[in-house]
Amino acid sequence: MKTGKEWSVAALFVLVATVICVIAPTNVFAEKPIKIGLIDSYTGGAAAFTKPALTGWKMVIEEFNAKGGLKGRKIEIITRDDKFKPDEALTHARELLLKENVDFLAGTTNSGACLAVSEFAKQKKKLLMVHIARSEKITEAKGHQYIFRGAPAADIEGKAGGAFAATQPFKKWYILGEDYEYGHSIANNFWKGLVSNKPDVEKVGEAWPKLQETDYTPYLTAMMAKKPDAVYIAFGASGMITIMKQAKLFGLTEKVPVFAFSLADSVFPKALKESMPVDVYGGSNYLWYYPDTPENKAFVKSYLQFTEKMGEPDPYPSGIGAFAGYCCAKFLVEALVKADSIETDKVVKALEGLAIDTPIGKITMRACDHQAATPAFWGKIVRVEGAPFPVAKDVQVTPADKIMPTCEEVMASRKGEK
Amino acid sequence: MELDWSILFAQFISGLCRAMVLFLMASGLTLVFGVMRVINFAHGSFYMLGAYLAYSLTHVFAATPGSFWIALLVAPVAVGLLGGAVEYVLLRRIYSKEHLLQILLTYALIFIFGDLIKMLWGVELRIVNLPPILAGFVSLAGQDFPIYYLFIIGTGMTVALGLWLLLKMTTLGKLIRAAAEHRSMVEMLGYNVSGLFTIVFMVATWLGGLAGVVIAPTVRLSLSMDMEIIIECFLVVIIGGLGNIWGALLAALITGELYALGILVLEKYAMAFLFGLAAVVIILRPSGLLGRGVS
Repeated sequence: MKTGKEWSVAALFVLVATVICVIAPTNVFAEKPIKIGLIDSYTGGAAAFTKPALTGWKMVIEEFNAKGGLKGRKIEIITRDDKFKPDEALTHARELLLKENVDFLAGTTNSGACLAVSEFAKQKKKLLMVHIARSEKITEAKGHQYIFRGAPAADIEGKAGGAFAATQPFKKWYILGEDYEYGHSIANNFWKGLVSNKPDVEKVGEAWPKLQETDYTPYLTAMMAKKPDAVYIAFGASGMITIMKQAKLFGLTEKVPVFAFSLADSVFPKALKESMPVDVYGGSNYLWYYPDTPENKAFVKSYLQFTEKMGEPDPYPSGIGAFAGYCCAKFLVEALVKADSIETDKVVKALEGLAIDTPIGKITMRACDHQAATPAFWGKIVRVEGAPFPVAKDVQVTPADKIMPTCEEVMASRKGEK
Repeated sequence: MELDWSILFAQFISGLCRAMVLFLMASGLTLVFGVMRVINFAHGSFYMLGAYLAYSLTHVFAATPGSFWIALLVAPVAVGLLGGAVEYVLLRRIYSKEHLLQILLTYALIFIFGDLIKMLWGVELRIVNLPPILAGFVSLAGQDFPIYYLFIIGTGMTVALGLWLLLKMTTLGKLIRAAAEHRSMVEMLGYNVSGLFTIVFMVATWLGGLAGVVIAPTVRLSLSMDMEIIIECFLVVIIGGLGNIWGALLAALITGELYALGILVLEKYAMAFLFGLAAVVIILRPSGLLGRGVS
């Protein structure tokens, strides 16, 4: 009897141990998810871009979690609203790290906010994945080991715009830019790209209205007084809506060719509706209709299905928002798998040089400066039969390797900052 | 650059347009200060509310041809009624208190209204379309101007004239001016000053709502639009003389034109003109161009 009792105790132990082993990976350890703290501007003009970006993140992460996550650990996104303010972004970064114990930081839309959080991430040795903020300083002069950007930098976009503008017959240019980091940065790079491809262009004037100006009319009339052949509008995403509305109201786009990066992005026709100008020149980091490949079609379809589930169906994913969020999430998730760890240093190593498959082809995270090598698409925006809103025609693609600063240039700029 | 009269004229018109928007806003701000001695930081919120109401009304009545005109009539009145309620429930409790409390209260209202609008309309960008009848262009001195600019200028001038008639020609206007000068005297004469203040605040918030509706088709609506305009409006009020409506009109015209013409000369630094002017005026005439008080 005694041995029989011992046997049954042993059998019970084995049973319990088995149960623990079977259930544990999904229940006990899975209770501690991998946390990503996403800081972004969810109020104000930027929300039109940040919400689709968040959808892009969720799309990748949901798929990753459905496949079992990283050894059973699932990813959880915690969002915070920085209201487009650097100090609020920094406060949230602190709180996310100290109270929520997030494993990774991500965001932002405001470049100033991004630089503030970046400095904090550098001190705390936490990885920060940048998805909308464009200033080239983020990955260049102010770059460091823990910052990555899975979306374009302003110099890539600006120079690509310049290279495209150089193929057009216009000589006398006027630049109207928003007076802040991004506005100046994209305008300077546009001009650099234009001059290097077409040295005989002339700048007949420039003006820099303040950020969040409500009335650009005096600028538009003053601009027309200089009789430019073409105009480059260097505005951030939310200011672009107002300036384009007023440009349309003023009849500017009928009077002079207008160039503006990001105008080809689906977010603008969606927001501007009837006020969307046509016969303007615009670019984007992603177009839902170009390239017309099965991969891109599949992405548009799965994005639609995903947004349908969320109750806000969106058949035309945007570049600034949805695509950027998607790419950043994909970079991070694939790096986790490659590193087979969530330790920051291992994930950093895994991200360096990582190439991900995207609907527009492979995009590589450059190892030296942690900047994704993203192509730019430019074309003339026209009404096309069958398209839901004006779209870019005769799209020209500028690959990143042609316009990105070299690793040496980036490292030189970092030394200059110290 | 060569002096071209048609360009100067174009700049003048766009400056006038800007001036009228500023005046629509600043008149309400300065009226409240002049009569009630309250600095209403939340004036921008009433303006934002006007714009958002215009958005909703133009969408609800999208099928009706005159949807914008319905919004132009209804939205400012709704904002004015809300303003009246705010005065009745909140502001009148603090007239006798120190100024700091007034600032705290009106400043708090900015956040309350901001969050309220966020709850009701959400954070997405909202666009109000131009009324089709005002969508074209007129040719003036060789330049094409959107008809809508002329509509803005016309609205500003109508409001200026209306305020002048109200203050000079009606009993209500006389009472308002009297209350601004000497509140207790008007009370002693047996008039209900509290009711008068409610009316003044309603008129002021109506003006703010009107400015919001008028500007709505030219901008994107966002939750930060209350703060985007308020600083310039305060500058206009200060330059013109706190509480002085004609000062606000004059200051709006000067700042609007200085800004527009300044762009022609020093396009990179147009904003500096405004603050420079404010600094000069405050140094030379601390009470503003036309002095303080409702005249």
